[in-house]
Amino acid sequence: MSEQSSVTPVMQTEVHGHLHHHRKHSKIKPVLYAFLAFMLALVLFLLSVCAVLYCTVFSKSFMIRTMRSIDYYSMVREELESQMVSLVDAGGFDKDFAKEFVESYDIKRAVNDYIAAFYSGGNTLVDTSTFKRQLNDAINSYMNQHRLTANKHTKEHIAYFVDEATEIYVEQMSIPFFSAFANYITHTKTILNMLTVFLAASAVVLSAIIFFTNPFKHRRCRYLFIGVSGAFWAVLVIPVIALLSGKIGLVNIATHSLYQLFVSYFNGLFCYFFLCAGVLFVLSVILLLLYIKYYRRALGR
Amino acid sequence: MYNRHHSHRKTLFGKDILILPFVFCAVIYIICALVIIPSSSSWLSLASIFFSDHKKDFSAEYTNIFVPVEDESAPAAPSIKQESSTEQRKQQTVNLSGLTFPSYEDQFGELTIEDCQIKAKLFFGDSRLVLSNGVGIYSGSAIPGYGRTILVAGHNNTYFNGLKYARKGQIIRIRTNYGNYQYEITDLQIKDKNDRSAYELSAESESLVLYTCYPFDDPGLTPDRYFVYAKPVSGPVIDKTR
Repeated sequence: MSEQSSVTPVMQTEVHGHLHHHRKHSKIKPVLYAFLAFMLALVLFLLSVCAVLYCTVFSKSFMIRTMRSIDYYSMVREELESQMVSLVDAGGFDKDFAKEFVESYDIKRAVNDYIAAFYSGGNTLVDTSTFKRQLNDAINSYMNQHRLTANKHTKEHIAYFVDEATEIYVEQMSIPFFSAFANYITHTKTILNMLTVFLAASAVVLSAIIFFTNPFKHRRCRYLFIGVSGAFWAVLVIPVIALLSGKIGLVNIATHSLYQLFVSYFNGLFCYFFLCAGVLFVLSVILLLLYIKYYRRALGR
Repeated sequence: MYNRHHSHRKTLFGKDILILPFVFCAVIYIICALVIIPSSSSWLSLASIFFSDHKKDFSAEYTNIFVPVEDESAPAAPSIKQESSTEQRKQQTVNLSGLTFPSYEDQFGELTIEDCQIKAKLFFGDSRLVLSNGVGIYSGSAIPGYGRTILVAGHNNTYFNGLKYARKGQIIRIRTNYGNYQYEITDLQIKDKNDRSAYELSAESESLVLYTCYPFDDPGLTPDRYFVYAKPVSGPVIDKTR
């Protein structure tokens, strides 16, 4: 379009027939390049989403980093302790019994094992064997210290107590929907990897078509800029709308530790979207500067 | 020369270069919406379960709305044992509209059984937070004065440990933010926790049922519950029509 407007009235008069032919072509070309630019924008947007999912939802290290950043383990420990104290109240043990037991139990290892099982696509049922064994040991030690003898009924009551404590433990360690998604995570990750490669290749091919089929450098840069900046705005919209809506903070989750994990997890995910948007923005600025440079150079000729 | 220069300047940032990125962005989201729309209703209903209108409060603190009511008309304990007619109770009423109804986990009263050395904060609800701080009314039952069954839970090793000393005829006092009540213990029973005959929540008459785990002072949890039944003696009736 800009090439048309750069033709002077004098030139129009002199080479009218040739210009008419040129105009007929120039109506299709801009539409074609605009379409290619749109496809580039769509592919870059999908590529960004895939890249973000790969680095966050499908990344075990992202989950572990998020847990570390909010000190999830300490929160789980405090909540488990608080729940155990309440159970101990009902069970007739001293309050300190619950505190000492939870203190000695390795929450971090248990949480990390649970997360590892999820990302390996394995069994996400919380392993309660260590917890039960250590709790039984702690109860036996408590009974010995307090010189309490366990008859048949007491043993049954203690077994009931251990079962209730284990239920609390499982509830505290579990992350909602993890068991539902665990079976899909490995399979989906393979598909995501293939999709990412395909989208990356498509982006390269589309850029190459726009670049090599266009004889004018400033036009190459213009259409590439339009495509990349279109993807930039599309990627930017996701975290901006999510953060402006403030919905993440209104999530209904039973425990404080899970709430903090959920909020931090999604804030981290949105940071990755911002990062992708930032990369696309830098690319857009470079292409825009190149466009201006080549446009002025063409103008100089 | 001037004309050509001017013409180029006008088109350096033409409409397409400025508008097309936004158009592309919009079209991308229209495509995404078209893909999502067929399953949008299930996603939206899922979102409505996941998100609420206000931020959840995770503080381990409870709200205390209990302000003791001075009740001059309430007679002393010994005379109450002799006069416990419903006619007498009807003389004192509390309007439902003027009552500050407790929210879940609110402390709105105090329960005392002097003979059993029990004095505990009374909450609405029976969550872990409640039972760690006092005794709680099951939220599916009624509050004192409402004319229905009042089911109160407490731990047998803490606030309701004294129930092991409960005997028929003893007086249970409940002070709330809207009135003071007295109940007389009528029965004591040990039942399984799943025994539905232990209490009737749909009963049309008021009764107080206290329960805790049984046996007392035994380590571990038990499936048996110790029930203490009491009938109302004094206290204002809640007028549900006003």
